Amino acid sequence: MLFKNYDPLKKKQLQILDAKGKVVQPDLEPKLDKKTLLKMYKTMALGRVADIKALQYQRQGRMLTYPPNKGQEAAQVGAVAALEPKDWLSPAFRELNAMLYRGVNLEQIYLYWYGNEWGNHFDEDVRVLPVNVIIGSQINHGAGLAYASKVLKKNEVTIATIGDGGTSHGEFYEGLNFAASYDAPLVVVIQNNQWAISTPRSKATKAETLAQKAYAFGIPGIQVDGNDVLAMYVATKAAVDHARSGKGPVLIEAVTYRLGAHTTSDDPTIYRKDEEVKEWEAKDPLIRFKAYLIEKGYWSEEEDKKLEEENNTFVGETFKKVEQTGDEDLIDIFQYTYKEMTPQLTEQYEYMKKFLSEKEGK
Amino acid sequence: MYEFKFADIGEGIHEGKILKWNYKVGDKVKEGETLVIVETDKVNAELPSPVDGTIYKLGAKEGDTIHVGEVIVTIDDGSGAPKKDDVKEEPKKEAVSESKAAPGVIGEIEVSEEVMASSAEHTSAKTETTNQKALATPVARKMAKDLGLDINLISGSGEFGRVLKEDIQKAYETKNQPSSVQQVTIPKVQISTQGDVEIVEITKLRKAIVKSMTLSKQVIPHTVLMDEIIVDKLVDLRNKVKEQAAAQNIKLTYMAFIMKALVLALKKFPNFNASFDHENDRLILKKFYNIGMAVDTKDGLIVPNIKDADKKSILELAKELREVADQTIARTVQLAQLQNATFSITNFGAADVAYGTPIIPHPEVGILGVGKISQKPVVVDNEIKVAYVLPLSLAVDHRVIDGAEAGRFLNHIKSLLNDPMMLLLS
Amino acid sequence: MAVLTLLEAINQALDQKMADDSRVVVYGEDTGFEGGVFRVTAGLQKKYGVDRVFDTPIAEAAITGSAIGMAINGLLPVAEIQFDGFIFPGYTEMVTHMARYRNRTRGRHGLPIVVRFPVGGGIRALEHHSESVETLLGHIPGLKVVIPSTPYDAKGLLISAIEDPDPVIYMEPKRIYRSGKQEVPEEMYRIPIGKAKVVKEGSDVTVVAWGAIVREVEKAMKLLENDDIDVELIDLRTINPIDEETIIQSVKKTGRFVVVQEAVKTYGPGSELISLVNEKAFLHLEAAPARVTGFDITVPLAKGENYHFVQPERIAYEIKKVAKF
Repeated sequence: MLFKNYDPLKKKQLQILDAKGKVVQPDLEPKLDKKTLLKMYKTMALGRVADIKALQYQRQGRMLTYPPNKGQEAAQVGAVAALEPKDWLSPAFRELNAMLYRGVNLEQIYLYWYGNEWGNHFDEDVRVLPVNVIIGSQINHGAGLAYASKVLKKNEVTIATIGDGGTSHGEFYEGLNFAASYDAPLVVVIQNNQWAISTPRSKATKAETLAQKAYAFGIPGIQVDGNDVLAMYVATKAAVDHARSGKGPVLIEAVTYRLGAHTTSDDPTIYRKDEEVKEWEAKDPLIRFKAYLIEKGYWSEEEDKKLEEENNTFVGETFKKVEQTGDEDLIDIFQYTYKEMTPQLTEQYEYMKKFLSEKEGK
Repeated sequence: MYEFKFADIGEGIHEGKILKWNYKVGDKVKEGETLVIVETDKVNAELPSPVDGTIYKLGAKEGDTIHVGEVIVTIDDGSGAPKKDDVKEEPKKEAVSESKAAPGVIGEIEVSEEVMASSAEHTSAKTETTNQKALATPVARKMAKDLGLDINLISGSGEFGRVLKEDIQKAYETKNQPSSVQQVTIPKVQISTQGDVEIVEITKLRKAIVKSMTLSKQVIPHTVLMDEIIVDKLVDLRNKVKEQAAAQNIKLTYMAFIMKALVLALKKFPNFNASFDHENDRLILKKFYNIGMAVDTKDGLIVPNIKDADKKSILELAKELREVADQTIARTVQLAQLQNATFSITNFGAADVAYGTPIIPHPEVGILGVGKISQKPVVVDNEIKVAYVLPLSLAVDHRVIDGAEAGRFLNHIKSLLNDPMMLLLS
Repeated sequence: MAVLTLLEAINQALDQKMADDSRVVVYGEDTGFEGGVFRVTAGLQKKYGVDRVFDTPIAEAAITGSAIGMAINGLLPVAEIQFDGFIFPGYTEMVTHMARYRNRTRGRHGLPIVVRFPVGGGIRALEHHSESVETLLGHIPGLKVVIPSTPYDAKGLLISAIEDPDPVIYMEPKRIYRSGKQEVPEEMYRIPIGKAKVVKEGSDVTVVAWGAIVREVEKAMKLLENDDIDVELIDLRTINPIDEETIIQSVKKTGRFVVVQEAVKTYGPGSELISLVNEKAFLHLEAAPARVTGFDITVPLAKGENYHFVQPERIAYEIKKVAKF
């Protein structure tokens, strides 16, 4: 139903909360309990603080390259809020809020960007794949996860996310096409934040919307106001239900904006205008969601202030912990290449160990 | 005659059924026209004629099964003897039971019914077998080969028994050169032959001298101490005993006395009667005393040595000195006489010269140069006198003998020669 | 005991493992219904159903990339790439993810994947159907690479590959798919990955080869029968990790080493083996280690391929040079 009403080829975009937080589609307003709504909001708020501070740490020389998520909190959280714990997330690399929501620790996330693979070692029941730097491949991985879910009859759904730039990549097509040809339960959420480093969305493809690419795969597609967390939730829930029932993949395009730079090593002022950024700042997902919650009586400005302080403290402490970890153990760079170290790896490790200890001895 | 064989048209078919012939025997057919329709698992194939010609013989009739490789039709194309169509699998195989086409879409996979030997896991025999071969670098191996040696017979002094270049060198020397002269590497120098010159080839003896002198000077840091001794008493003694010695047919030279004094000094300073093994950082002290005596022959310098000089009296020494010198000059001296000296003497006096800086024969550590005895004014008890003075030049290997010790050694010799009574009593 | 071709042995290994472990799935282009263009997977879909043995769209990145998701979520994927020349679109996933996933996640996700494809030439095929890509795969830490030369080894190695907790690239030398038969035990058995095999003991020169070339070396050895050269022939079997112990032990005994490869010369597997021999058996060498290889050219089409692929005459010639040095 939803997909029929919001055909991207007909220029439809789903929005439930407008920029000011007013419900503009009351019959589509999801029936979410206070606990869930607050969990969503608090995740977004924490993500926002973690993001800002990560940037600060990087400028202080304490953190390495980091991709800011600012502005995309609703697009991320709204989508994954529609998942059950047994479902999977196959992310790209700009997915801090989604990963937090699904049970990845901030400490782990920071540890990864800090330069330590242990940051990718999530807890066993956390069904999230690590940050993916090879653009597009996460779609194929997601297709595989979904195929296994189907064949093993586990009733799971996989969400794979990708940026607007990523939709130009062959693996996006191959992955979605592959999943669709088996009706594998894969939902792909495009985080269309308008920019692929310095390349605007219009240069990525001639198609007017990204959601309409769904037609090429024979699956439903829907374009959503990505800064509207409720619309994201509703669209993704419908997609997840569709996939879970065995009807195959759905493609969702979340129209949002990358308020920050591509990464901390990028200067967006070179290629985009301040006016554009200001325009999107007015559509900030946190502003409207906060207004909505306060309107509903679930939240208050005082609580919000308190939360921000708590988040600042928590993030600061978390990062300090990460900084304590220092260099990796020598054996760690060797012993995870295979399940068991080969004779060659053992020999190479012993050699390096000896070399380092002799160096120290001198 | 053209024999058209039924080919694998792809997809791995082995056989087909003739559905319909479009031609019969005697018909003319053009290249490319469909001859026959064959039914296979996958498709009904229309087979086009490969040549122009007349149908000569049909290989099978409608309804028959035909296998890949069999002749489906023979066409008289005017070429005479039947020509094989090159429809076949790998032509260079040994055992192909039937030319079965193997599927693969692309290429021609060899098909064979040949049964290979069953798998059996061998392990390579371990290296602890009897044929222990030498461990050596390629450079060392080449060196051995160039010198005509079997490297496996050379014992290695390197780690794990590795045969080093030095080991090969030693092996070569023991094989070829009995003397203890070692290889000397001399830097290359270009000498001009321009101008008014005469080129003289040097003798073999001179070549040997070149080698040994160069070696000594390259390897041994020489230091020379010189001094003179008043030998009036020695002169007296010799004069007294000269006649008696002559009666025994012995020419009693001063050299005999000097040699005696030297041997006594060597006994007191064992370091001087030694070889320095610089490869292994050790001094090899000799318990025997073979004193070399440089002899000037017409072809060059030869240094025979008096064996066990410590066990011989002065008279015996004098006798032997003369004999050996004669033999040396006559070039009849035995090889053994020339080998294994422990310390040497050289007689500058024979050249009418007082002092010199003698060269130590490697691997000895010292040489005593003896100058001409002459009368000179000396100061004794604050008065000038005329005395017989013997000049001495002692060269030592400064790696193992320091100046102070050399001085003490020289002074001991001096004291013995100064008062020959000490010579006789020691 | 049954006598099978290499291809039949592979089919049997797949069949038995699929019966043994319901997590095993086999898939690729034309792999399911038709049983593969060479019929390697024939009969499997009928037996195990369309969910476990299936055809894919023409999308190598999806074939290899989906294997990763499948392996994480409880399947044992055996993914097929149709030909060696086509691995490249799927190579990205093999290198950037398959090989690294265990390391990237510090052991949280190891990937028990097998990627299999036919390799090598000598079958007068089209372009891109005769490649030797051992180096491109052997050079990637995190991948294991194996290649059988006999039906017996083919079955044992494939079973080991499927059971291995790490990604294994299983190369099938197409030239010898059907070129002979061998006794293959009915039951499941394993040949350890990382273990070479001494095919024939000898004392004069160690010769290492793998895949279809082992047979070519055997032919070369026949040509050398009158030359009094006692070759020790080793079938490498695993390209990575190399069985150093077997090779070095052999070279220490013979003092001479020749590696024979179908692959292009420069940066080929021979380079690696010779470096190894220099590192570990230098002082035992009585001649420089040698490699007999293809040339640094694009694999020729049928009418030129016999110059490029190592032939027994050339192999014998080079072995003799080393043996007589």
